[in-house]
Amino acid sequence: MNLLEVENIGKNFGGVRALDEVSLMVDKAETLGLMGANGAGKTTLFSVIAGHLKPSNGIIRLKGKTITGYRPDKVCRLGIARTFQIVRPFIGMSVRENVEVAILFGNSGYDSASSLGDRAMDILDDVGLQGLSETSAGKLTLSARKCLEVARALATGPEILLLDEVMAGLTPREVDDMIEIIQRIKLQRRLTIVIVEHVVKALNQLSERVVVLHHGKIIATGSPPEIAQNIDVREAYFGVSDT
Amino acid sequence: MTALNGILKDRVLLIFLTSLVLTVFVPDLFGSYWAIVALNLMMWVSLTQSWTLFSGMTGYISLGHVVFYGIGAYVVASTFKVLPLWVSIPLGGVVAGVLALLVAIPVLRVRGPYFVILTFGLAELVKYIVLNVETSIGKSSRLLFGAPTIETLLYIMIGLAVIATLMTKLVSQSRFGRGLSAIRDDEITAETVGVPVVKYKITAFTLSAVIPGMVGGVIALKSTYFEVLQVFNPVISFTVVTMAIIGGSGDVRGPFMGAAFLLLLSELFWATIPQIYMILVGLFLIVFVVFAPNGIAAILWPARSRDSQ
Repeated sequence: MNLLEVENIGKNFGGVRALDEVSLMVDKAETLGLMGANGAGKTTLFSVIAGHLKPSNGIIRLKGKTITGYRPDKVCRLGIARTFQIVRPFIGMSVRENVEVAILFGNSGYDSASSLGDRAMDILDDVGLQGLSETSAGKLTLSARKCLEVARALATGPEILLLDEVMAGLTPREVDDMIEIIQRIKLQRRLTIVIVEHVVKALNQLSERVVVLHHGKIIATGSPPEIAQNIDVREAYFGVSDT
Repeated sequence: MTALNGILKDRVLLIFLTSLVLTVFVPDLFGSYWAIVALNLMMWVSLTQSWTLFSGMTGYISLGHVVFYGIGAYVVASTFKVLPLWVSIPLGGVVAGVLALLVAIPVLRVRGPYFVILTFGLAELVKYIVLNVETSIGKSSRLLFGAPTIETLLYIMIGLAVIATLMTKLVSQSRFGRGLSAIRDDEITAETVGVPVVKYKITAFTLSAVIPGMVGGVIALKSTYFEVLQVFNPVISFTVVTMAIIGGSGDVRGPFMGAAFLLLLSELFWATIPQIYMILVGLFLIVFVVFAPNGIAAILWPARSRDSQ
């Protein structure tokens, strides 16, 4: 059975059809890339899956169970964690406290077997933020904030991680680090990942399968090399097909 | 249980609670005038602590907390000589809690300035409903003959101040309190990491209404007189917010400092030059908001207010 199923999801904003009959399946432990130009509906799709937006129509299933219209906190406790493209740390808290909140309230449940602080530090270790644990989250650089987004999502103990442009705005060097972090945490935790990314290199390295959205519709699905050759995708991105 | 252990080890809190309790000696040592001052101080401490539990922790500024105080006073006044006080005062708290629960669901849908205005408007609405009900049954005001002495009321009020302080402290140290702080920082993120924001906001709002309900009842007994416009006076809400801002809401001692500061000002100026008093309150409010947004507590005990948020 597929871990996550998105079936005929549509979302209207007034007269704009942001998502139009989008259907996709994600297998356990798969990494699915999601690409498309600005306004193609990628973030909207994440928001619908994570419960921040209610779809106008369609169904979302997690392990066969319908979760359409659930509130975000409930979706999180069922094992779907998301990051935000525009980072949203708890700025009044330290980096460690940000992660602790996610441990306390997430899917994994806090059993107090190991101290909360230790568990937070383990997760910060995984994303390379251990040295900044006591820094106020509002004072971090962009790349550290992106890492914190990932750490906080991880701390909720997800099965599925929705990563929304965690590499946007990073330097090439930082992109490489982030790719390595994502590969490592995926292996360690047998995570299923859906990743939205404009950095093509990252998408190619990380995803086994790529789905391309254009004006709210899926126009192509395939392995990264197949997508690179796809006529529709080239047309959508470059406006002409070089046949 | 761990929370309780934490409280027993918290020396600052224990000293603070002890000093609250020591005010029981004020009537004997300083006479009845100061007994009333102590009663007023304990009243404002209770109200401001309770306000902090919700508004301080979630960042939703309620400008209508007087409604819970007023409804508690109304319960005690309208059941006076019908129900014993040990029933009617707690009943005032319960009714205030139920009222908070009922209004929380529509009111907590909005944030920021909309929430502030809505709580204010709602308190005014309830005030006029109660006023019309009272007028229609021919009771524009009620005299409460045979109320307990000021000393007895002071003891009850000290109890309420202690409970309000403990409640706020326990909540701030719990998982629930962490969730509320997360809501204050970023509600969307809070819900994304699993904080049940709707449930938490409603629970905190309800909890923060119970003590004010009981305080209102005790104050009605103190004045031996119940008048709707007086117990639902919006100035009470404004004063609570002012005390929380001036005292600071990140430290348990903050609400006390705020209440003590404003009472001291009013003792000094209210009786002689009331115009100066209001001007000073306004000035201090501006000064604190601009220069010391975390209040007196953060100036006196900087480290503690930061990590006990």
